Amino acid sequence: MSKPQAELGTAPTGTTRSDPAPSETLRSGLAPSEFGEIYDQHSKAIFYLALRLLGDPQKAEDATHDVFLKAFRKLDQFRGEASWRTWLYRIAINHCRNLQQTWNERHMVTNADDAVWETAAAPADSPLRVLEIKELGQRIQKAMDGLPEEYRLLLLLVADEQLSYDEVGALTSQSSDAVRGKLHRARKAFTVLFKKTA
Amino acid sequence: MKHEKLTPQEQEQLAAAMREQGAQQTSIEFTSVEDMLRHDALHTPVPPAVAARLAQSIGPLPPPARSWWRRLFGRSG
Repeated sequence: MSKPQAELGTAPTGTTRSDPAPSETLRSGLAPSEFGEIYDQHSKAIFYLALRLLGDPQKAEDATHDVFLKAFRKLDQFRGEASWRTWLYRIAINHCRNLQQTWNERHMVTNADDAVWETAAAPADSPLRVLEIKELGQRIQKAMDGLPEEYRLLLLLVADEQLSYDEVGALTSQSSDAVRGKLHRARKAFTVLFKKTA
Repeated sequence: MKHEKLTPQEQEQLAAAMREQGAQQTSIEFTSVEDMLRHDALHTPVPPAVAARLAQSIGPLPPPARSWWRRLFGRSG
């Protein structure tokens, strides 16, 4: 029988509290309630990343569970040099990549398709109008599914306002300048694909 | 004040106006891809089952150990 949800987390969902200082919380070990607080603050971001990378709500749910379980088991490896959010994202990205390789069920578009997007009519900074907001998630997923993994990941990480370009660069193994450079192409590719979903 | 009954034509016009108003209320324009993704993320809740499953998985595990680097450098706690 599962424990009540309240036992895992202490902070309400959507809390705006800042991270507990990693070095302080780890100094005397991390109590389950403190880990629950970390879950409350970051599970939404991790679930959303997994959802849009994997494209399946059930797989995203499983992945979110597995990511936080891995994090709990690896807490002694966390040195506090990165934020909790960045550390959790790193685990999530690796986990999702492993799943994608294992399942081998997604058709990945290669970077060779850049040329198609570069010549497409939709500019990267054109507004995206959505008439039916309830279909937004489905349309975003369709557009994401057509992007190379690198672009998908860049857009999802940059959309998280808690991450700097440096942190996005660290998570994607490139410089912040490279992130900025690729981001323009990623936006344009997404915009072209998104407008096709209307 | 006497309320006059709407003609079929007026009723149709009113219905069309209400449909249009409804469509406007559900439409939204995003200035960037990131804005759209933030909106989508904000309105995508984590299934409550994840927290329950996680609590069940973590329950039997021992408390998290101290970081190896803290043990190595002999920091307190």
